[in-house]
Amino acid sequence: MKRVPAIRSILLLAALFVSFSFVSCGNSGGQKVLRVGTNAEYPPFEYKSADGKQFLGIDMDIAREIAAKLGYKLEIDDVQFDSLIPSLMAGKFDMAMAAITITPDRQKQVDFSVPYYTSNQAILVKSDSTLQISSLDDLAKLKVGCQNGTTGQIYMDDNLVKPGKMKADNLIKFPTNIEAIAALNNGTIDALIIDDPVAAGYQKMQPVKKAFVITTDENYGIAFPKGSKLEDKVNGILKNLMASDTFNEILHKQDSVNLK
Amino acid sequence: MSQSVFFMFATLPLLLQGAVVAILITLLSIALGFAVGVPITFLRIYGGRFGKGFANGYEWVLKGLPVLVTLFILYLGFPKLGIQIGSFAAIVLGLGLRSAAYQAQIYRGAVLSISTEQTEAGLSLGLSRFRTFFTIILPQAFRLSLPGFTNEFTIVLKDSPLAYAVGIVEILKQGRDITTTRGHTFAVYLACSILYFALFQLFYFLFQRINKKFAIPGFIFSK
Repeated sequence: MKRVPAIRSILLLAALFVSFSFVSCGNSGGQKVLRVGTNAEYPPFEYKSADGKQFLGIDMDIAREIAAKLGYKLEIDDVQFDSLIPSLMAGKFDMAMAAITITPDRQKQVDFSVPYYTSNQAILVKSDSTLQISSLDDLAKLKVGCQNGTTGQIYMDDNLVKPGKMKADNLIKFPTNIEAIAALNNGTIDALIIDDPVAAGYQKMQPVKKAFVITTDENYGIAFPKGSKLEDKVNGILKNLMASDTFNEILHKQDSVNLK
Repeated sequence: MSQSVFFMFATLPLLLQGAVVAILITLLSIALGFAVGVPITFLRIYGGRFGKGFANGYEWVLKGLPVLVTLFILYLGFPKLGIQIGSFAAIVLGLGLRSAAYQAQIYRGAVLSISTEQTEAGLSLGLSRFRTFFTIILPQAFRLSLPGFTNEFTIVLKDSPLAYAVGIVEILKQGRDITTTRGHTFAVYLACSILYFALFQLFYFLFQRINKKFAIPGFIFSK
């Protein structure tokens, strides 16, 4: 009976693999860890370095400063944007930094730090586009893309779709900006609504241009789970950081970065 | 065009790193599927009323759920019950538990396709039920389940990119991270698909070899 040992060894291997998979998710002790959730598909706020090893961008640099001041080891978790707040509420990380606009709806679910960046919404079109967009009414006639769960999408829904000025089918909600930008380049959508600084980032990287800016004066904040003990400490660190030269350096570092 | 082809090659080292993760997810999920699927198989065949009912229910639920939904329930839903599941454990559990349902079906089919006359013959030779199963039924059922298992393996492999939804950096996520800053959408996704296809062929070839090695010469299904 040669086959029985073969089957036994397969079973053993299987058991080994399964036990490994549970060991690998355990946490190692030692230095305290600051777990930061982000969505690293959003230059210049968060993106990966060309070798795929490092998280770069304004938010990531701020997170590194905060972790250093706290004396914690920084651990960055990269998930989809619309999973960030659910993940935070599920206790997956200590805070989330992903150019998250502070909104009343989000404040019902999570706590926010003091605002650290102010932004508007921009409309991107292809660089060879002849579309003239000078008002929201112009926008309502187009096929507009957005990233689901972002303030751009919420703005379009609240100001154009819900009042009946725009057909719901004309607002196309993509899971991430990657699909949205690709759809714009392919001509599937006419325009894309996106945070202004990110639009500026994409303008450098892709054949797209800003056609219109909607002043929304949104504030970005760091999100914490409700009742987080870290919140006060991080707020203190963030306030000090914003008053320092380091903060300016972090912001301007991205101006000179050639993302290609 | 030539620039795009060059870019595809430039992305390879990163994508290959992702491939290692994809293979690990697949192997672990298949192993978990095996570890859970085999007991389910036995319960469905020999389990009595309660065991059969449980195994039936398990298959019914797990086969009816999209993996992505199971994944979000495990990763984002279970913490509400006080159970924290890491992203890697969540994808292995999600893919593995569904695979268990399908693997159980494959093994059950294989065991049941061995005619009852063979069991009767074994018993009449004085073998115990246990020995009849392990020396007569199992060696044949193992061979019969190989094609189905190959299929299931490649399906799990091709579902592994779902891991990117919980932030695991496998092939697809590596590709997306590259396009975020450097564009070349078509070249990058083409490189990803070539890599997935190559992995598929690799495992398919491997299982074909195993299949051939264990084939029963002249075997025909009875009846």
